[in-house]
Amino acid sequence: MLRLLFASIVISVPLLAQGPGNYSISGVVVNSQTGEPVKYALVTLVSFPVFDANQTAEQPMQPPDFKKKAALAGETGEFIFHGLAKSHYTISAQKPGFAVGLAGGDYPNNQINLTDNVTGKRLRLSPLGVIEGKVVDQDDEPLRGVQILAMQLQVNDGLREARTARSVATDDRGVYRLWDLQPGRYYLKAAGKSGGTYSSWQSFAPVYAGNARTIDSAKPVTIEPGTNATADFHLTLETAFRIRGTVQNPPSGAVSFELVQGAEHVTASRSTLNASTGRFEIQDVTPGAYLLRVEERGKLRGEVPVMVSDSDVNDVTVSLSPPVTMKEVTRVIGAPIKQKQLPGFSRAQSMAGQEAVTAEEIEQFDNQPVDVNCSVSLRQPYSSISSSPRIRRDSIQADQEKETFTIGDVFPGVYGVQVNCEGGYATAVLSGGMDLLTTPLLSIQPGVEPPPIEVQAKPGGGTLTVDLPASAPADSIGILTVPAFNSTGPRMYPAGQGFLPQENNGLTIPFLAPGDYAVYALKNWQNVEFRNPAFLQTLAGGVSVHVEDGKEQHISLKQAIK
Amino acid sequence: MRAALLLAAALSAVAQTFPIAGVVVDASSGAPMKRVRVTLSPYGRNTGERGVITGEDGRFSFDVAKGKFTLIAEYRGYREPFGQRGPALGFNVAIFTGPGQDTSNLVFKWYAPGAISGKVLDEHNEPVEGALVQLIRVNVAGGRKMRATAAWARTDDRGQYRFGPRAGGAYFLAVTGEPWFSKAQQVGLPGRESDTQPVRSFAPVYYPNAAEPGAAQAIELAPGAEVSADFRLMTVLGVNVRVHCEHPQGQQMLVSLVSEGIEGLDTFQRQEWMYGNDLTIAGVLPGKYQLRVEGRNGATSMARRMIEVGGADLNLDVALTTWPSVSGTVTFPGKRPSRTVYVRLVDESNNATISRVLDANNSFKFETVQPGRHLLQLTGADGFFAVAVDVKGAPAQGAWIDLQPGAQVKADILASGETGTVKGFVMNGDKPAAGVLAVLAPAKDTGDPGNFLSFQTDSDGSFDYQLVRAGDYILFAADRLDLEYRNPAVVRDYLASGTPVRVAPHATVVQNVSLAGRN
Repeated sequence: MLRLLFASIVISVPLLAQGPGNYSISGVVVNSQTGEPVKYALVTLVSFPVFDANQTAEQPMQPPDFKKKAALAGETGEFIFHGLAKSHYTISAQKPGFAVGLAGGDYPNNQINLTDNVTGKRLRLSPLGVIEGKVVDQDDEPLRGVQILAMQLQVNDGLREARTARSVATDDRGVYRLWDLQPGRYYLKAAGKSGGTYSSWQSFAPVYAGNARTIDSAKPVTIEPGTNATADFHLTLETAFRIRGTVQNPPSGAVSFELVQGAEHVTASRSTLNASTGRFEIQDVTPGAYLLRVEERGKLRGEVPVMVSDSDVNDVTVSLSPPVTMKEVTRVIGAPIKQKQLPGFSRAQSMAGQEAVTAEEIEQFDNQPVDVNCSVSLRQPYSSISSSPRIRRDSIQADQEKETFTIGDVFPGVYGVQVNCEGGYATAVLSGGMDLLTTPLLSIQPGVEPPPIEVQAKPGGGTLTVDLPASAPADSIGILTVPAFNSTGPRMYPAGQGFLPQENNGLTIPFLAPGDYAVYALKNWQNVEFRNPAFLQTLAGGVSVHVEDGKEQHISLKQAIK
Repeated sequence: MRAALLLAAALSAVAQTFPIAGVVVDASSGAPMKRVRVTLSPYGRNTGERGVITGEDGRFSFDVAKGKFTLIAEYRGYREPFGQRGPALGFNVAIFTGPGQDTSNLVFKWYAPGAISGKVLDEHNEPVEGALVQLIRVNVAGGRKMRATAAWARTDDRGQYRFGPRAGGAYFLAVTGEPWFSKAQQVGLPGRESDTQPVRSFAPVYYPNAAEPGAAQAIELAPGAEVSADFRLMTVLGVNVRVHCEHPQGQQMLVSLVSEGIEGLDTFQRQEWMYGNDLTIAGVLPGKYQLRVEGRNGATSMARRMIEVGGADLNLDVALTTWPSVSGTVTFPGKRPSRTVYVRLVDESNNATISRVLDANNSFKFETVQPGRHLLQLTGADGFFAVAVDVKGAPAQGAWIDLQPGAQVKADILASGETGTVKGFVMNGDKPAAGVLAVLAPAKDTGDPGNFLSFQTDSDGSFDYQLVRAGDYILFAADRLDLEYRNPAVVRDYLASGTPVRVAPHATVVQNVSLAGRN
């Protein structure tokens, strides 16, 4: 009976089902976590033609001819493919609620070189996770239309940032459910429509599960394969107020109103702006201190602090300003170094593959100057975790002759400045009268053209050769250099990417400003928050080194820090 | 002394307040309801709102000046106006305060919304994820019985769906979908076979698991009820419908296959996004469909086409056209009214309305309108209405315009401001009847729904029709709000026993009417 049922739901092409051979592959699809059979999974078999030297002599070369058969597994997870030829096969199973692609690929178990019947093949499917829960208010009344955001943290260029992986709204019972979640850590946040303010006669400030106000203090829900987690919210509804005022130069385009509290940016779900008078009103604001940000996307922006306590706030005036373009000038002090002065310079390597090179040409190559290039990045200064994308703007060269660069679309505000040079190092970074090496923060005022950033760079610099721990694969290790002197911050050098990797699992870092450094080897460097001052303070196990201009220092990092 | 007394009397008159007080009760059980937010606002205004929350006894109380007020109750994010009688019908009862008005013992009946939920399984009892569940509402709106799609839901990973909160009443449900593996066969793996093999699909089902729309039955959702409606989708063989359509790059097109479902309403069999110029809709069952291609996110192109799917794959080359548009001018008999005039298009199929403000040159334009029959109307605080419409570019009957894809219609409207007022009381014996329906029906129905007026009497039993088009009417009252007063067969007896009223321009008719046909 079971066989019959199974046969009736084979959905492959008849021609292939009979196939050009007499072999078969059979087995069972199982849940990788529980070992229990997975019923009615779709099993797909793809054959890769085996190259046969005898046949190709007679037949013209064919493009690779992938053949595919697919069948649904039965009620007990069983499957069978008949009539198969000797070939190389990839077999895979899929079903809703289980991981697909790389996560569920089950490699190399899914590779079959068919030379005889294969029986008892176990195809493992990795179940995805579920988070569900209920949202109630202080009187245990269910709350409908609350948006539940499942956020994940990731590190981008040394800073942690939050992104919304999934979101869903509660139903009339206050119930929500997120399914097909990949394993990982999720921070659940309750907010209003589209993650903005909650629009009702009472409201609540967006909050993380466990009543945390910031993602930093929130406790994540960890999803392993097959985890079914519950996260309930007890929200406190409170009287909400309105912010009214005037936008001084109201634009004609769409304008958003954002309530900014530290790293939390909440868009006002209910706001109105009269484009001719500039009068605006924002509803559903719960008590608190905010930075009110008014923006016509990418074109105009204004910010003003607003304190909401126990009544509506009236007569708030916001002035919008366009973004400015920052200028940057690099001044190189001193003659550039020559190719032959580069650390680890090897003429044999540089000239490899070139024949009939004259001594003159070699001489010319050796003495070619190494350009000094400095790039400036402006970024949001370190502020714990941002739930909106971080602003980062890099300089692009505007004028090659004068070594000037520009950074476009910079809205007024305070930015962290970071300077990286190649071919030399920065000896001074100035803007107006400000020394940005002492304090790498730049304040851009609305409506004022900022003074240019001037980078003074000296060619050359010190060189550091680092021996890496032999245990970890080089591509997962990053070398972090933390200057003990005034600078625009630490720098990460991924060991697996360029930077003159050495044969003995090491790394050469050129163009370092002279001075004292602490140097660390870090595992999973992509996930290291090296721009977080708090993280740097906890960092231990580094090696101290004094770098001198024109000299090479050698250190050995025995252990990579997790 | 005398002067002082007069002054005191005048002051007390100024300061005199009247109560608006009562209790919120559950309409089914009669039990008082706590935690209901009752808001009071001056009639016709959305400012000056005041709110209270009911306690254990369900009571609310306001002190107000003499006037006319609107009361709204809100519970768990759902709102209902005072005077509602069963499923929301778009009426409410305004409250008159003043000497002689008893407004201190109002009973605010709360018709708790219900919910419809259920599970969609396939023939192996496996949950169907992503099935499209269509909720069709049957109710009386504007004196006409309407069936319209009220909501859609997609089933979750457990095959579950839920519609809530929903006003009580009659609902139909239709479920369409496709097996998850029919999609999996199409994408992501090498191999050409999937193009030619028969594709599995789910046959649509209608509550209660009927295969034919004609066998569908309505669910009667009582106030506050939780109704469960489970479905089973069966796998059947279908064919591929391949749609090719040239459209500007970057435009997303929503492609739908729509069949005639319950009582002639659209059933969405498939709805898929087309990113490039080609889309294969797999596993389509034989039958007649309307193919809809619609640009989204500001795209203005679309197509409609009737197709018949048989036993073989179908290749369709679809040419896009523009959404129908309607533009024109309005001619006023004298000078243009001082207040804003709106031009409206009402979709006959679902009463969906779009409005435009008449610009300073007395012209208007609707850029993207759903195809179908629409009524062109004028509205606004000054009461101007369309007496004649001259339509070019589409078939029309009076102000009804039949809009086809690509149609660019020019419609010139002749406006009239000849309106009057009809007011009075509905009397039940010698007492005014509050919260009942008073209808002003044209003596001769010209097919313009704008000639029908209905009013739910206010707390003092009064009705007040403003901006009534001049002409002959019949006034009648009924103790029910869901009367299909635009259906001649239904109101024949009401009309026969009604009171004729002649409305002259700029005049007021005062006429009471007796409550008829209690049932």
